[in-house]
Amino acid sequence: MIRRVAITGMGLVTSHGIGQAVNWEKTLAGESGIRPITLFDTTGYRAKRAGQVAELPAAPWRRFRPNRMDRASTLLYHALAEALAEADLPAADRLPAAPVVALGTTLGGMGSGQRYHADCVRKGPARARPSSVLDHLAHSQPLALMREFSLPGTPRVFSNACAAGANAVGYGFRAIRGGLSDLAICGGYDALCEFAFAGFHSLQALTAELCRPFDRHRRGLALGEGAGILVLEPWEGAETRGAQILGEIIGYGESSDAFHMTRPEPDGKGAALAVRRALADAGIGPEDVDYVNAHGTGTPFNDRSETSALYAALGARAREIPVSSTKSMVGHLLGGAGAVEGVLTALALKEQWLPPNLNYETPDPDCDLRIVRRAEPAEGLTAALSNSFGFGGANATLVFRGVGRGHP
Amino acid sequence: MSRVAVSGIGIVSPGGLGREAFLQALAAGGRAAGGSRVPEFSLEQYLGGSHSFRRVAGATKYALAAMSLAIRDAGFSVGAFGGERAGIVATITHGAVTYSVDFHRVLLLEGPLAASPLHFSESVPNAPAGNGAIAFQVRGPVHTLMGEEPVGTQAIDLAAGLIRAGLADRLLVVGTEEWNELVAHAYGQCDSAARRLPDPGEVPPLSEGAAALVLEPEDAVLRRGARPHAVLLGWSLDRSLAARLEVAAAEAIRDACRASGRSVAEVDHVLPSTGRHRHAATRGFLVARGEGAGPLTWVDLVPMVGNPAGASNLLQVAASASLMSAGRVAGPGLVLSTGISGTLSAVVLSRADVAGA
Repeated sequence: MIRRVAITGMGLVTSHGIGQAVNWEKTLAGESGIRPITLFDTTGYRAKRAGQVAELPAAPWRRFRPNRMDRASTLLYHALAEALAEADLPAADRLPAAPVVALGTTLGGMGSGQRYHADCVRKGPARARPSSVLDHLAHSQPLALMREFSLPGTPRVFSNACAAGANAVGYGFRAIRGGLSDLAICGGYDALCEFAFAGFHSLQALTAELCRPFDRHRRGLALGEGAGILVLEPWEGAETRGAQILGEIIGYGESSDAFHMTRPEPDGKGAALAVRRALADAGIGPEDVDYVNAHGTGTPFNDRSETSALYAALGARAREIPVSSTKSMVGHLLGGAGAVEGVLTALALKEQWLPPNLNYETPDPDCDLRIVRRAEPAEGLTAALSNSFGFGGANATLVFRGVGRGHP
Repeated sequence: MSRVAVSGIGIVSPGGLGREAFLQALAAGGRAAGGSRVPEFSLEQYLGGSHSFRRVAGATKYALAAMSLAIRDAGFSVGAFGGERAGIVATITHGAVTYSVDFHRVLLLEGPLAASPLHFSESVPNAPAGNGAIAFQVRGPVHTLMGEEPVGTQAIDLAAGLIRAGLADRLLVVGTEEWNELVAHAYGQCDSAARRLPDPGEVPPLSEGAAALVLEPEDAVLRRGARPHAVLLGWSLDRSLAARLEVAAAEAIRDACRASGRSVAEVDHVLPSTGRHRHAATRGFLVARGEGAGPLTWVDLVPMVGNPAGASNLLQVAASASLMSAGRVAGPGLVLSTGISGTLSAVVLSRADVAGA
């Protein structure tokens, strides 16, 4: 059974704010959400800024004590609440049987884990508070959110580094398209914490300057935090229940570099395979692609490798297709990146605007792509790719299609 | 549609390294001399040219050895397994905690400039899968699933789905876990904080190890002249123990048997859960089985391997498949798994030479 997959709800939390509306407004305005970090002391680090969510409201937990929940759970709560409200799903007891809940994350509740360990080191293990570690493990946040929102079943928690969010969305997409479920709630999340910041700092991957993906003078990435959620349903079922259809996912491809734990394959061969598989899955060719939301971390290695991958998969058309990396505005959300960028790609198709790639000033001959410097209207924008590549050589590409305004 | 077969098995556990050693230890009474820890070994024994993996974390080391054993057991050479049609699905609960703790301790005590990039990159949860992809040149789907003990069944489900959808020809499904003092301490504190000491039988000691399975379509295994150890008939993984433990477990067992085309009464051996609530799941099995069924063999791995968390479920499946392949039990077998939050799974597998459901 092959079914069309409709997006009926989306939720978004980034350093631009909480909700799709504020995120889209600031995206089109080309506003940067990269700001000085206040979550922890940055003394000793070259980089001092990240896409930190400046004002994160407490989540109105009903079933859990708020002070026991990790920041990651709060980010996820807000994105999930928005997506479920927009999808306007039936009450929990009338949901389709066995909904798929698939979420991607790199470090889960690492902020809680590091606090617990810091207490162990500073005060001794006996005085570390066990309540601080309850929401540490990566599957704790999805389990808690499913209970909070009365979603039955067990979550699938993908931890494929920075491709995890896209893999989770791809998993949900396949479940709906293949008739395994009539409802998928999927996405990704990660919270900013010193452990992750120090880790990328130790790898010399963070920039102390502006994050400028694909620019000749790019120096590295800026970390971010947030969550992205997509509610997916079979097209016919969504139409039958009168749901608003916001967009469509039409393809998903995945592959592995099998090359290095932290460096991408220089010729982009593995990433190109993911792009080719996604296009084949969608039944479209390079000539049908109108926009690429790039992985575009802003590191010298990644952007060059991704450019090679796009040329390998799309041929000469790679030079013509508009490309932007929204990480330039909100930072790299690790396991949340693929899902957040998926939501932004769906919004681009829905609103018929191309998101900008901030701070792009000097073209790099090694990244010979048509970079979107400022937000552009894009009437007729129909199909778009969202790339996500991660540590361990994990590659994932999603293909989105717009609806309405001349779309099928 | 061809059944999904287990064509290769690799085991790294406190009970021994390799399928044969594991079975021997099980036959000898199933108690590990080493307690909760995997005996010391050199990766070079299992993975030629493993120099580039010499500094990987324990969880990755165990996974690499188990995957290498499984590949060879399936009849592949290590160099011939990979490619674009091969994949890996890894499972883990806690991850490479030892490296995470080392990285964070240095960060706390010496500052960011002293923190090791290796300890960070090798502590990410997908390091075992990523290193596996590199070691065996696997260029297809490579995933890491995190969860409680039943996460192994999620990996089987994902891998079987990829095979059935024609997206991969062969997958390594591997669960891995390393023991860490801090993790054991945290669980102990949480038990204590719960103000009701759990039944000691409900809390098997945390341990470590890895179990890898090579999964392929059964007809593909037979075409290349190999013999499957077992076939995976059916499984259930979305019931929850949250409400009434025995009832949920009984429903999950019935679901898995229904998906297998077998009755609960046909099950001839059971591997009880190694996780919390394990006795509730066992009671659920007895409810689902009812009275008047045939003889039954219980294969409890806890005395031998403890609870290797994210590796436990696949280790149980590997044990059941190994026992059937060696002719020690006839099958079908039932693998039960439960987690601390009430997560639950059941897997039914049978000998490959038994006509399928």
